[in-house]
This record gives sequence, structure tokens and C-alpha cells, in this order.
Amino acid sequence: MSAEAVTTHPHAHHADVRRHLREEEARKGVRVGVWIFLASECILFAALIGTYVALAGRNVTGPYPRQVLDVPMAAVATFLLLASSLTMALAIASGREGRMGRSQLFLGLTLALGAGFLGIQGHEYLTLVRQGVLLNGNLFGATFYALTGIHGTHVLIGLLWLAGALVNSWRGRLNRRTAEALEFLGLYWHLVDMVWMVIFPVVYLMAFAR
Amino acid sequence: MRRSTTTGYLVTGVVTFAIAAIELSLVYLGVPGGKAALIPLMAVDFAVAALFYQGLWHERPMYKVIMAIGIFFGVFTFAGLVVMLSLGRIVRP
Repeated sequence: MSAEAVTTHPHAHHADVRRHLREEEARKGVRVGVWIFLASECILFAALIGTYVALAGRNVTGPYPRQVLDVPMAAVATFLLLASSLTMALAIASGREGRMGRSQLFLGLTLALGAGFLGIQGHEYLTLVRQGVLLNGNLFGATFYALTGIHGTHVLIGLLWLAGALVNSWRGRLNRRTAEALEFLGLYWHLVDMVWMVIFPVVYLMAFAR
Repeated sequence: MRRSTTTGYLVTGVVTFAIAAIELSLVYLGVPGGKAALIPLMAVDFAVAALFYQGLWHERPMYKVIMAIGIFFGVFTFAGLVVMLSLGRIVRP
């Protein structure tokens, strides 16, 4: 606002400042809410992982994890998810710098990598079902599908959110000013990846490690 | 507020990849004590991602506290479940 406008419309200037402060307060509130949500997700996954660990090795009947788990395939899925976290971070960095084309590219890559992860998990589920690992089969089946299924659902929600963000960016609705919305998506996506960094060793690697 | 740079993100990516590769190596090489070694590696991987991908390193103390409370109660819940379910094995009705 020009100095002339301020001197002629001082109330307009004060109204602008008040609106800006209200928007700042609202943004802070949303940010706190997002962090509290992420903290609650840590507790949720800790409970699921704790249940898996506590009940591991207590199957009365098979199939047993060492017989059916495909570690190489799970490793590929893990590296896809790790890569998606990197591309997500680069998408956010590009959005902050106002480079929306680059941000769109990295968002698209994140979507593709996340979809690849889910595709591998879906293929794994089909293979396991054929091998007799069922949700109501034994303790391993119940805890495995509960843990990885809920994680997979979180990945799916993240993919839908990513798709929405991509569509918004194509329509020109994502810009430097609205890049904060992308940061919240990033916080969620990184948490999904961080949880998998614990699930993968606990479920797949500990079954085979000495 | 300071934030991670593109270089910081790339370094974080390399570190998380390296830790995952080390975890896989422990299993495939059949290293004794590999199972126990997975636990600190998992924790470091998680911490690196939280600090530098999520940006907790640069965030306000309030958000660090919120996440720390979530992780604390997560660990508490994890330990509680392991203990309770083990006790259920010992005590028979």
C-alpha cells in the first residue's frame, strides 16, 4: 500500500494488518494441529508394531515368516519409498523457491514411486494368500496384515493427497504463497516413510537376522 | 525460520539409503548380533528422517516437544504391549 493511500485511508492499513495477523494465527493453529496428528500417528503405529513384536514367534501353526516373506521384494519396495521421501522433500524445496514446474515434476515422481511401493505390496499380499497366509489364519497372518495393511492404507491416502496437489498445481493454484499446504503433505508423507523404516526391519529382517 | 536446503535433503536421502543397505547387509551376511544391531540402526534412520526431512532440526521448540511426546508415548505403548502380552502368557486363568 502506498504512503499516500495510508495517509488517506489509515483504517484500511490497520484492517490489512489485522487480517494479516489473523491469517498468521490461523496458519500457526493449523501447523500445531498437523504436528499433534503426526504425534498421534506415532502412538498408533507403535501400538501395532508392539503387538506384532509381542506375538512374533508364538504361532501354533504355519505358515511361518521365514517360509513366506520375500525380503528382496520388500527391499525394493523400501528403496522406492525412501526415494519417494527424497523426491517429496525436493518438491517442497522447489515450491518454496517458486519453481513450480520442478515442484510438479518431483510431485509426479513421488506419486509414481509411492504407487510402485503399493503395487509391490499388493503383489506380495496376493502371493502370501496363495501360500496360505490369511488374516484369520494364524497370529503371524493377523498381525502382519494388520500392521502392513494399515501402513498401506496410509500410503494410499498420501497418494490421493499427492494426486490432488498435482491437479491443483496444474490448475495454477499452487504457488509460492500457498506452498505451506505442500509442506503439510510432506510432513505426512515423511512420517509414512519413517514408520516403514521401523516396520521393514522388524517384520522382514528380524525374521532372518542372527 | 531456517529450513533444510536441497543439499541437506540429498544428504539425508543418501544417509537413509545407506542405513537401509547396512541393515540388509547384516541379514544377508549373517553377521552375529545382527538382530540387536538392527534396533539402533532403525532408531537412527527414524531420527535422521524426522530431523532433516520433516525439518524438526529447524522447527520451533513447541513442535519438537509435540513430536517428542508422541514418540515417548509410542515407546511407552510399545513396551507396555510387549510386557502385558508376555504376562498374559505367564498367567493362565
